[in-house]
Amino acid sequence: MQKVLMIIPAYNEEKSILDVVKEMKKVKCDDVLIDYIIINDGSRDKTREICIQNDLNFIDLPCNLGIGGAVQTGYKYAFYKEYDIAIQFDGDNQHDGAFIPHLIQEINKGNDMVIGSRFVSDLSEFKSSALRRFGINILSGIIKVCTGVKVYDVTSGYRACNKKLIEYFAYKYPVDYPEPDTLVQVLKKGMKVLEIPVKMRERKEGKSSINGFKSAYYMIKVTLAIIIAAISTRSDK
Amino acid sequence: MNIKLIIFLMVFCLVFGIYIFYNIFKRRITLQYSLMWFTYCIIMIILLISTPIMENITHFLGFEVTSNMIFCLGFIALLVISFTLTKFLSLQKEKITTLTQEVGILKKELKNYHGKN
Repeated sequence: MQKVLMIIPAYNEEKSILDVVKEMKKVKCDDVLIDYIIINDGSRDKTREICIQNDLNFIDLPCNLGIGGAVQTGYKYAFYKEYDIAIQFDGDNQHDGAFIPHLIQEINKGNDMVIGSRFVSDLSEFKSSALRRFGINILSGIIKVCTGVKVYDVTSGYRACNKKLIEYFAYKYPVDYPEPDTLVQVLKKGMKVLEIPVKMRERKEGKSSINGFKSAYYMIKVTLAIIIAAISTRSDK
Repeated sequence: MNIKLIIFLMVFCLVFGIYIFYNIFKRRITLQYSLMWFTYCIIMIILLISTPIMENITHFLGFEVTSNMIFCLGFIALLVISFTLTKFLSLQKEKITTLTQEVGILKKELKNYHGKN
């Protein structure tokens, strides 16, 4: 039987974390064992207490590492426990668990990474603000120039990876704003990446990690990260 | 260069050098990281005592006044040292991240172990 691990990074998600786990438990997939692991990234609210009270499966990081460090903890755990597939799933209930079987299916068809995308169909009514979409389009264009592959939802945190990538990410994963950066590394290594349509919801609680003045800094930093990743990553082929 | 400025800078470098030594003996900094500061003091002192060397370098680099050359070189050396420190900092951060992750995973494993027994 195939073992799948859902990696749920959570930083101050006391209001949504239980809903996320409930949603996760509803997911059924034939011949697949789906586990989840919450990475409590040094939350300052009651996320940790809620995890203990409800006996959730969680890793409690002693201090805040940021999204990249938290997700990488999940990949390390998946690598040590020999999971076949790892799926990143946000702790703020933005992602719809109904698409997990689709992601697993596509990985089993031989893709190395499968990205749940808001933009490849009209399935997702929530498509983020116009400004943010504009930013994502620019990043998508830069990635197309750097790697020759067009990916639409480059910042999506809803993605599945196979065993080979779990090992790669367990050792090497960027600290902040990791999604576009890792995508370029994976493409440059000559691995197969597929985007499938998924539904995303608008976040109910908490704030996005990117807003206001940070967005300009985000664009500059991510653009640099993409270029550096494109130059420094060597192909496996 | 004015003799008063030379004496002031030399006294400063000497006091700084002694302070570094004091910290090494008190084991507040490791020898590895103190060496670059030590080299900084020694080069400054050598330049300050040897007027001919100082004047040659001043002319060679195109400075009008020797004191400008001293300050400019000092500034460049500080840039190099602080960049080296940034490099150490980045490496440290990476190591701390790895340690934090492993501690988190170990804490979980420990809990599971106690749960089973």
